Parts: sequence; structure tokens; C-alpha cells
Amino acid sequence: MKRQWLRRSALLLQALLLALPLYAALIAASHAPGDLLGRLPWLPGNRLLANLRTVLGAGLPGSPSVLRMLGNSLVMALGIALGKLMLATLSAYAVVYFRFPLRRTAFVLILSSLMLPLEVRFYPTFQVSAGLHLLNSYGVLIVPLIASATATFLLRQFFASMPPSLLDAARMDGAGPLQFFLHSALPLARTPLAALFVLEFVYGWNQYLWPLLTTTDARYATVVMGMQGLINAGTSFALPRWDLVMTTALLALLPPLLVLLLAQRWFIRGLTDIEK
Amino acid sequence: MATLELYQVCKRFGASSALTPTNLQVADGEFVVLVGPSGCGKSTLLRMIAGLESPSGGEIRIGGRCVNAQEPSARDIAMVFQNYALYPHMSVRENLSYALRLRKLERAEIARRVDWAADLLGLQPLLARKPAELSGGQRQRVAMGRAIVREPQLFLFDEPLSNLDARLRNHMRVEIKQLHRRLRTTTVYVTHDQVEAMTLAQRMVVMNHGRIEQVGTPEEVYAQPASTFVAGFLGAPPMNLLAARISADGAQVLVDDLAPLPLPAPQPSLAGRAITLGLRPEALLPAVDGRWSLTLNLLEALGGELLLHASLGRQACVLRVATTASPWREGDTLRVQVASTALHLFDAASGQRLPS
Repeated sequence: MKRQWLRRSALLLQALLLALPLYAALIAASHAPGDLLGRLPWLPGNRLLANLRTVLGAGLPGSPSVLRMLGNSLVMALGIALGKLMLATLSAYAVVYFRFPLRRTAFVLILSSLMLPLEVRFYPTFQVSAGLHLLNSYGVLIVPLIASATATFLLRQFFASMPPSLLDAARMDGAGPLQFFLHSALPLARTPLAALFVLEFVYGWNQYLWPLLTTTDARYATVVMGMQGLINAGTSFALPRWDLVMTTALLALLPPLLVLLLAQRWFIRGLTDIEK
Repeated sequence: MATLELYQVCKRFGASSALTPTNLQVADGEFVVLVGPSGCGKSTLLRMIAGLESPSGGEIRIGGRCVNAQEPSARDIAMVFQNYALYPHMSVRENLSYALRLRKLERAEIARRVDWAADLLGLQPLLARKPAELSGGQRQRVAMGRAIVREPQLFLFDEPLSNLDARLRNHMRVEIKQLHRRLRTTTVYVTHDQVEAMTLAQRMVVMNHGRIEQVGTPEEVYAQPASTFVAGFLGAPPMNLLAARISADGAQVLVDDLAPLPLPAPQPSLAGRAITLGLRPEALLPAVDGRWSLTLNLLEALGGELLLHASLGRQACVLRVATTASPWREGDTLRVQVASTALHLFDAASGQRLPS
């Protein structure tokens, strides 16, 4: 009984610690800029809707429209997530079901790239992207980031865990490699795919350094990297517009949260029981 | 429907040989069972017939035409797998019709065949369900349905009943037999279960260590096992195999220091040879004036019959007696009679059957 109490308070404390910055953002976003001078009120104010309207409508002076940045982020996150899934599904399928020379080597290579953080290859990737005249485009935001060792590895494990007789049965039924992929492998992989989609969407949405390096044109600014500019713009006024900056921050939080909530059921199932 | 012919078909995995060159002819409409312990090459052989593995040598002919180079789907055959291999994300109807849809058959024809198979196997009420919502027996039936809707020339069964419990297995065994009776499709059925082999087969092929030990009707194989392996594999409990010797005149069998048994006909060619004597458990009959006496070690009452585990000389043997109540007790000495026609003689070294 006592131990349970202890455990609960620890959990509660953790939740509070996590929620506190969020609460601060909510408070800042719901007040007039004057109320935030030198202090943070304890309770939310009544200006949240008004602030939202300002941010989504006019935006902050001197920075790209927030709506546009949200749109850019959405394009990038969806592009990365879908691109990763497509590439990873196909390569995992190939590694599991096709006998070709250096098959194991290919898989080990993919797996070993898991060890390398993205930042390690920024310089060469930047060089290549620049050489291909991809800078300042949606292409550069998406394409260099869609190779995923994690997703390939997870899907390989999933395909390898499917009973081999399923492939035998499909071959007897007259399904070719592409038909087996489309009619059986892909539909069966929908739970791990949904889980991976959530992970990769959040990963794509939260990209900061790469968009900052490769896009200088404000038309391609994403909301996560644009935040930096917003803070500069917001605080350059006599009266710092923390209310608007925090409203934007809340907006930037929303899409990954929505995706997670919508796919929550599949997300948990896809990560826990990879079997079915 | 078609014949199936195998000529010198073999399979090697690297240096090891999974199947030595094998010949087999299956007649049109025949039900042939490949039976043997696991690793005997029976599944490899079946998978080669199916086209899921390619033979290392030899020729496979279905309906007289060589299919070695053909894809499984082009061979006009259907297979039922041990774990059913149903598509988990498709309904029963979709599972049944998948092959037909891939072949781009007309919708009406697909519906007709699916309904026909569903009626035949009692699957009509289950057509909308997913495999996960079916019991083991129902899944088994769907797997068979998926095979028959294709109206193939040849059915292949790969241990289809081994995932079912004993009661259901008996039931499905009967269903498979009835199905074959109705459809008369040439069938090759793989099992390690000798009861399935004995009851289903029109002809059975007993395999061991990648080669065929014996081919014949269940009656032939049971009555005249070609080797000690076949003798020990078929029958429950299996045949008693006793180390023995032929007397110097070739007319009698000597087991340890027991009373000699006369052969049905003298075999001068075998005189003095060390042999293995095979005796079915039911060939040893308790009789007051029996020739041999043995000591009972253990009794097993199976209801309708009784299994007696006994010592015969210095060797162990099992008797089967059709009786409900045992007049004997463990430790008793019992006299048994052996009919001379019930003797099976095998070469002690090679295990091959000897004339008797």
C-alpha cells in the first residue's frame, strides 16, 4: 500500500515536470503581451483565441506566415514518413524474400548505418544536394532523409517472422513476387507500418538542423526551425510578443500529437506484438 | 486428373543428400501416402513435386509432361500445408477465391466454384470470417477448400493433420478419405503418422534416410515388411524384433535358448545365419501348451485389448491380446504359441527381408 503510494507520487512528479513547460506555454499564449512583462501569471488568460487568430492570420511581422511554415512542416514530415516507409518496406521485403548475391552484406550494411547519427553525414549529404541543385526545395527537405535503417530492420524482423508456408501457398496460388507483396506482405504489415509512420512523422516534423542548413529561402521555412526566427522577431519589439511566440509553439506541437492520438491503438500494437 | 511419375529424382543440400535418386509412379486418381520419420526426405520430395524446391537431378512428370522447369502455379496442382498457411488478412471466401482471382477467372465462375467447395466442406456459414476466428478443424477445412476450388490435376498434402488434437484428427482423416472418394483426384499425402498412412493410402511409400524402403498397399506393407525399419515403423505397438539364428539344418529358428521354432519351409541357404526375427504383437498367442514361456513385466489395459510387456529369454517383447479383463498379473509366467506362418525373417546386418 505504501509502496504503491510512493510509486504513484513518483509518476505524478514526472508527469508534472513534463507538463510544466507546456503549461507555461499555454499561459503565455493566452495572455496579452503586457501581462507577461517580467512575470508569468499562474492562471491562463482569455486571449488564446485572439492570439491564435493573429498568428494564423497576420503572423509575426518580419517572419514568414505561420500557416505557411506549418504547411511546409507537414509536407516535410509526411514526405519523410511515407518515403521512409516505402523504401524500408521494399528493402526489407527484398532482404527477406529474394536470394541475391551479397544479400547478407546488404542487410549488415543497412544495419550498421543504424549506428551513425544523421548529423555525421550532414556535410557530404549537403555537398551532394548542392551539387544536384536541390537546395531550397521540398526535395532537399525530404529525399536525403528517407533512408531508414530502423524501419528497414523492424520490417525485416516482421517479414522474417511470417510463416514461410504463406509464401509457399501464395506461390502455389500463382502469385508472383509483386502480387505477394501487394496482396499479402503489405496488408499483413499494416500494424508495424502504422507504428513506424507515427515514429517517422514525429521524427520528420522535429527536424531542425537539416532544414536550417539547406533552406535559406523563407518560402521553405518549417515551423520547428522557424521558431528560432520567431523568437528573434518577437523579441525585437519594445514589448516582446511572447504571447504570439508561445501560440506558435503550441500550434507546432499539435500535428505530431494528433497523429499519435489517431494512431495510438496501432502504434502500441505495432511495437509490442510484431507477430500479427 | 493425371498421373505422376518421378524418374531418378534426387535432392542434395550442399554435400549432404536429402533424397537419393528415387523413382515412383502414381496412377491417375490414386491416393499415395509418403510416410516416414522426420528428416526422411518425404517433405522434400513433396515440395519438389509442388515446385517449391527444384530437384538436383531427375525428372518429374505430371500427366505425362515434364514439369521440372515450371513454376508451382503452372503445374496445375494444389497443396494443403501443415500449418494451413491461410492468408490471415483475408476472409474465408477471399482465401478460397484468391488463386481463381489471380487467374482472372470470370466472377460467376469463381462464385460457383467457391460455393461448390464451401457446400462440399460445410464452410458456407464461415465464408465471411477471418482465419483467426476459426477453430483448428475449420481452418483445416478452409485449407482443403482452397485446394479443391482450383480443380487441380494433383493434390498434395503436407502433414495436414499434425496440428490437430487426436479426436479431430480422426474426424478429418475420415473427411479427407471421403473427399478423395468423391473427387477421385490423384493425391500425394505426406505424414509421419502410420495410422494415417495405413487408413488413407491406396498405396504407401515408406521412406527412411532419404530413400524409399518399400512401396505397396497398406496390407502388403504390413504383412510383408521389406526391412526391419518398415517392420518397426508400422503397427502400434510395432513388430517385436528379436536377435535370432537359423539352425544348422536351415529348418528352425533359434531365439536365445528357447525352444526352436520350425520354419514353414526349410531354407538351406540360410542355414546357420544370424538373423532378426520379426513377430507382430498379435502373433504371440497365450496358450497353456505353448512352446515358449515368458515373464510378464507390465500390463497395459486399453479397454478392448491388453498389451503385455514381457521378457522372452533375454529379450523384451510385447503381446497384444484381445480381452477386457486380464487373467494374468505382473510377474506371472506365461506360455505362448507362435504360428510358423507369422514369422518374419530379416538379415541381421542389412535389415533386409529374407525369404521364409
